[in-house]
Amino acid sequence: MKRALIILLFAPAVATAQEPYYSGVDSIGAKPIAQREKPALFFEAKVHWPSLKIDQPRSAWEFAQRGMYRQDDLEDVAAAEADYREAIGLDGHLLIARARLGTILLKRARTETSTTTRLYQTAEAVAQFDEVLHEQPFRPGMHKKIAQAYVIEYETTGDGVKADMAVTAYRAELAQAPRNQSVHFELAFLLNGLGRSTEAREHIDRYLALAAVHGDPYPYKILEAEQLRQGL
Amino acid sequence: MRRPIVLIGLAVVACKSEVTTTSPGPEFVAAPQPYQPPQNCAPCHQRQFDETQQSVMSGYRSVSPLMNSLELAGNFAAQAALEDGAIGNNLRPVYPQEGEEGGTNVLNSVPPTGGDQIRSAFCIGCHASAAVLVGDDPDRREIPEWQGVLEPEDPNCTQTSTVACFRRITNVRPLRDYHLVDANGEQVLPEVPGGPPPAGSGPSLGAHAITCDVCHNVQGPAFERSLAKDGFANNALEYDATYLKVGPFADARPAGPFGEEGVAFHESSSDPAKIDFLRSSEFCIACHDVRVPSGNVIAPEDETLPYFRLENLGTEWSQQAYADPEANPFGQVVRCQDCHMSLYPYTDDATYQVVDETTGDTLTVTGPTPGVFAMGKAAVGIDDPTGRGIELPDRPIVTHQFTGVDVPLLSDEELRARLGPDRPDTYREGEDEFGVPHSLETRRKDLLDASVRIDLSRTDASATFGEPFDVRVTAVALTGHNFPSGFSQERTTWIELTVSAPDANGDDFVLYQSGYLTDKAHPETGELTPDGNLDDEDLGHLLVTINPFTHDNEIFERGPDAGPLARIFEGEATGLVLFRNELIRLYGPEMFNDAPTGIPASNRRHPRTGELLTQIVEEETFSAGLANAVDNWRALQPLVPRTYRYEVMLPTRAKLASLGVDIVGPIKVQAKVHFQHFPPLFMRFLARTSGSVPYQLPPTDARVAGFDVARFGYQGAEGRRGPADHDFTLMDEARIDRHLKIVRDIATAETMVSVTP
Repeated sequence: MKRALIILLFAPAVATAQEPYYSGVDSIGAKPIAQREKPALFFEAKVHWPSLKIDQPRSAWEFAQRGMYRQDDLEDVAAAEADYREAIGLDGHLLIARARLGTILLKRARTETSTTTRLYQTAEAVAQFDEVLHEQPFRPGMHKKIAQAYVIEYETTGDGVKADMAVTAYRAELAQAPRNQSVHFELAFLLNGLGRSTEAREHIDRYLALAAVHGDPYPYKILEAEQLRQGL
Repeated sequence: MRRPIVLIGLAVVACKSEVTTTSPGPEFVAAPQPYQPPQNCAPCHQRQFDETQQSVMSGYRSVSPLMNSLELAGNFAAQAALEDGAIGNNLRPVYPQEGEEGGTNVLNSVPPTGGDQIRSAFCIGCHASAAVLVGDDPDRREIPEWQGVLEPEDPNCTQTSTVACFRRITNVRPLRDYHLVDANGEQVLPEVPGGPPPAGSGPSLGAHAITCDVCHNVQGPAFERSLAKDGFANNALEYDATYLKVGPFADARPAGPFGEEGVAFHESSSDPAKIDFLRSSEFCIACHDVRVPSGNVIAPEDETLPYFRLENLGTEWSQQAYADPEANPFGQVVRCQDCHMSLYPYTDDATYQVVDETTGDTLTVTGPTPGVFAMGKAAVGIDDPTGRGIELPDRPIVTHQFTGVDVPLLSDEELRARLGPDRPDTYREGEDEFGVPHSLETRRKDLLDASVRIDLSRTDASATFGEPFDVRVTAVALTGHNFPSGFSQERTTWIELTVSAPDANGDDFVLYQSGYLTDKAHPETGELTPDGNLDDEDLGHLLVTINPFTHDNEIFERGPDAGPLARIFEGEATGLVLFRNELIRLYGPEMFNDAPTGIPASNRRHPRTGELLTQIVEEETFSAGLANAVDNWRALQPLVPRTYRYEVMLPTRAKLASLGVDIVGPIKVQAKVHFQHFPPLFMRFLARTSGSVPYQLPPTDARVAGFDVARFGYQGAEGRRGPADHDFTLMDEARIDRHLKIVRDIATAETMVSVTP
């Protein structure tokens, strides 16, 4: 049995390290990235922005880091978008900024009421994802996002070419990740909507087989898939 | 029932006693004393000895099947480079030749001038440093230098520019084979490499791993030997093996008893510098940072001697809240010893507030108080431990259980077979005289329960069917270092989130879930059908298996709960929240966009297709030796709350109705934090590398477009038991099933959300 609580009031709890610490991308305690020769590549990483103690970003990497903080922690998407655009303007190879900007645009397009604006957003999102794939053609998830953008364009315009482009992009994702069950799910519903039931059945069967092993974050999707399968 | 204990706070511990010391002064020069097995210290320090026997630092660190198979895997991976002359040695110790000057391994190179020196004895240099230190003397050498060689090529194999013929590595033993002696103290080896200990054998000095002498022979930090000249990492300690031991007390009583020659077993140093160092975090950090020398690292901290930070625990502590009295709620430096050698977490709770710098929100948390020590005598067990009739005082004493996040991956029978029949039951019930449980598993659970807190109060108060709503989990680590830490790229800590609501049948209908586990088959290690055990499962964000020959990911796909990658790289607010850090491996050309990539020549081809790359592939790797970079920012920082958003899309009422579901009540949000000390996929990689199963190619439905069977692994690798084509009986599916246990619910939170149609 523990004894009575000791009540200590304490604030703030933020670390006050004796000197600025951050490694840029690898770990706490390493040399600040600003003191290093710029590496040719950046790999994925999100550093805790307040720990950097930077008032005003100066480099593409710093703009991207602030953007991530604004988006994920402050939930200020507009400010994050501005930072990502600044980062890309300074360094077009900073893929994390492109992927995040594209994802913001794709998400915004889903609820955009103006058709023109929506198509502009999807087009720019695809352009950003294409830039990522230009440098990292095997980057997981990018083809799927491109497919989702084309689906929006198809649903907006009814242009069958866009639907075909979506199917192609989904299949490009599956070529790299043949067991990506969410891609099988989305592709099956798209193909079913296009009247391509044989192909839809192939993918919904694959989804159901995978979901039986791996589950689904939205378990009711399994019920949806079973319902679709029964109708095919 | 715990017994009453006397609790002494940090301030008291820091006070110096006024008792005059009778110990030798700092100028005292003691005679050399060979490194002692720990049982030699037990007669006077029985309590400390017993406590160490209940820790993983004692003994288990040398005989661990994971450490032994990982060390073998690293050596196998280096074999080709070793034979090509690209490197001078692998991870096994290299000892000085007679008359040779200059360092040859991680413990005797001052300063290290190249990767070979640091790599030499890299693992065992911390895990059983005494065995390496005494190994400079050929007569006392326990672990020989590496003797493994690649057998000649099969003349029937046709090697091409992309296909290497399989060549078995022969003449190999795991480290623990060398840690056995017979009744005369002479080394004996298992009949076959990796086989059971010979009948009648017992533990060698090296088998005892981190012994009493390893700590109490310490003289200070070895700044020149540490890579960053900070005295951190890779056992950057100065040792002197003499009768003069360094303890925590400036006023230590003289030690006894006197032997037949009238010489005490040891004397106690009164050198304040040494004593202060032993009592400091910096002492522990000398091993609890691990900096891996690697020419593969992209943008290393040190261009002349590149390394990356595998374990960064000590640095994390040294630069964050608990090292700064003004930045933590206890108003003083809270050292490693204050949590891992004190009565923590069996101490009174403290309640304090931490501020989320992002939102300004204050989070009130409660956890055990660090730095509370029991009162007792430093030496017990015989009537007169001083040998001079001097009464020992009761004073604050440290415990030696060193509780952390590991439990042995060996049964007690297996431990006793290698460490001696007196090894106590790892999981025995009961508590010691201070109320600390004997069971390592219980102590680990209790420590983990004290490590993190979560809160759901920033979750949306209401939700609407057919629209997204936001769950926000705020997590804060109460640990002195990041959480998880240590081998943080494997220490798997995550949030399980469940969003559910009651349906018309009275059942809980799950609307969203993340961090869940499903029971799967693992044919690569012989589990052909799901075995009903969830503790041996990996999380659903990735589907990965690792090639035991190349260490490439032979399968690497996003799973349905894709979280870390989607959250970080794409800014998605959905999917798994995983606090585990990540090792990264880059593949690609030498030049890209007219700039050098820094990617080593061995990484020019796609890991699964063998295609010569003109662009970049970047992915998580579970092979530390082949990592190009490490992202150590995923773990929680101490006392720095972070909020993770889950944008949960609710189905429409109509969709639910079409599925036959009728939600009748409010939404329940449950968040839990769980801990798994190694990811099963990593253990399965080691099982395959150390030969427990014959190698099979990945299943056809998991092969990517362009999959090249010939390139995959090595030609002729199918059916081979790892690079040595031999089962070293270290890791297998049965061991994973028996010993890998998820520690569940180390933090929990729940909230209700109203829902409108």
